Amino acid sequence: MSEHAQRRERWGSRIGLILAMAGNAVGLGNFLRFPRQAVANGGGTFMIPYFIAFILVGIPLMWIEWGIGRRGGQHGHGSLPGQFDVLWKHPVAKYLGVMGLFNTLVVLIYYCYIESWTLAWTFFSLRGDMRGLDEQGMKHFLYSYQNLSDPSVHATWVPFAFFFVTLLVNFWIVGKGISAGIEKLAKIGMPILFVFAAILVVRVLTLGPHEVVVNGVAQTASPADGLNFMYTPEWAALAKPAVWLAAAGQIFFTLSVGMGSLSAYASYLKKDDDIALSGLATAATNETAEVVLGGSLAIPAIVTFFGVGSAIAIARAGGFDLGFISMPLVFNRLPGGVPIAAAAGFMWFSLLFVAGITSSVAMATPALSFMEENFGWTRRNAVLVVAALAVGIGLFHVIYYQRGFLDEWDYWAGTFGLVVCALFEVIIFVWLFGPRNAWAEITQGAQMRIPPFFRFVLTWVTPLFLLVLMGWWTVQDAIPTLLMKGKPEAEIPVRWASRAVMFGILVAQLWLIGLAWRRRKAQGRV
Amino acid sequence: MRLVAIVFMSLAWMFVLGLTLWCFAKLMKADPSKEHLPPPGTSL
Repeated sequence: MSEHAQRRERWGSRIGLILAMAGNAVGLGNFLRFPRQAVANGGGTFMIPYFIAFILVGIPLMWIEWGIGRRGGQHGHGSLPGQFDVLWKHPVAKYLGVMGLFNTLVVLIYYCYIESWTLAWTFFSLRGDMRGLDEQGMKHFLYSYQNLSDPSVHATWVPFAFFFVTLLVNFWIVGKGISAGIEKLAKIGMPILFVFAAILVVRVLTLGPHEVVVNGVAQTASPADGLNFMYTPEWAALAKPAVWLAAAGQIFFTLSVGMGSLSAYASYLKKDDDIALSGLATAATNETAEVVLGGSLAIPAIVTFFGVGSAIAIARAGGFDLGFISMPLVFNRLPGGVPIAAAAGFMWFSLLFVAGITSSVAMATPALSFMEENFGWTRRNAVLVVAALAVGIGLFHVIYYQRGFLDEWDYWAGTFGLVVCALFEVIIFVWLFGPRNAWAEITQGAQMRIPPFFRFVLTWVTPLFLLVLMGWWTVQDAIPTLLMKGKPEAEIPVRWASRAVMFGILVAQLWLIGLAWRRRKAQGRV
Repeated sequence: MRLVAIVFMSLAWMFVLGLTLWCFAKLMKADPSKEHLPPPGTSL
């Protein structure tokens, strides 16, 4: 073990590690993306490909990332360039690891902007700013915040202020380190998230029937109708490849695999620390938050107050409309009046904020580790530089959100980049490091017996699944997205500028990796 | 609720809750010596 590896920080406790890992995985998507995906892809039938993908892709990738991280950490590497270099002795390996720096930094910057909305809406809920607004009013309330040229509801400085506060809180926490910052946040934040979500689920599921008007006809709807809508199977959906790929995609996003942040957290483990049971516990905790809590909140509540037809339209409109327009409308209609609406809004948006921040601090970790380990920077200096970068580049997201700046980043780094990174991880860890070594790494110190069937899954099924997913997405989405098909003319220059900034980040990170390894060589550390 | 929806929801909930409880029960039973706590006096 290198001297630097021995000096690395460690997790304070295993429960802290699992909560931090679960916090990394549990994000806004558990509450906003999952219900939409389930409704749009066959309801109850969606659960079949969803759980198959969980077993064949989700759990294996979770173990692979933990294995890569723990192995790399023994050699003093907290980010993928160094971790890949340890596993595959080839000059290219470290450069492929750039995906672990690129995805996390790019997603961190725009994710913090979305996270800042949840902080703002927590504040607005407490102040009762959305009291009495109808659907149009609620839309205007959101769109005025997103569109700086429309200060009719929110002053122009408001989105900037919440964005800066969000970044400040994030970097203050990561600046305190792994144990005193990130682990402490998870130990406080995750119980709050689960308690708030559980209270809201109980409130939603115990609502009585309400009258809704559908096409001019009055009907009654209840949470049971919402659960029927979520879980009644459409068997024909199982024959559609798109449903299987949507399920695999959801598993991918929800577990935060292919990002590089799980392996960064795992790098702070010791050689014989268990990763098999801890990784599985992390994945299972995330699934509980997603299926039991996320699946029982938004859709049943919206169906109860607006009917199934409206829920379909809302689900199609996207996760932000669901979270920031429909849910506040639901809260305004809850029995109990203003205090209950304020309390429900506060709990909903603060649980989203906690889900967001426990993920964003994880995304900041690889970049900080890289600078500390390769250039000898102090944590404080690394935090200051990455924070300055996040503020500077993040301003583009605040200013140009409505012109597609964020969409480009979300697609190329937050969607496509994750599959590319996961594919690199699987190929390097399983095929190039060797299936026997990979299996030995995952089972070392294991406190559960991993069924031998997973050895076959890790070697063949998971890579194949990822290749199919990447091929499908390339044909279906990547090519049309690259060509900007259907995008308004006015957005095209902004979208190109957005890509140029992303490309600049990628090139700068590749250059830094090259520089770091030349420095290591000069110091005799390679 | 329709019976088929109840069945699907129950199976989904039982799977994730069962797996989570099984994992945490196993973690609780794990040998405490495997838990690498920081040395006494280390502030978190």
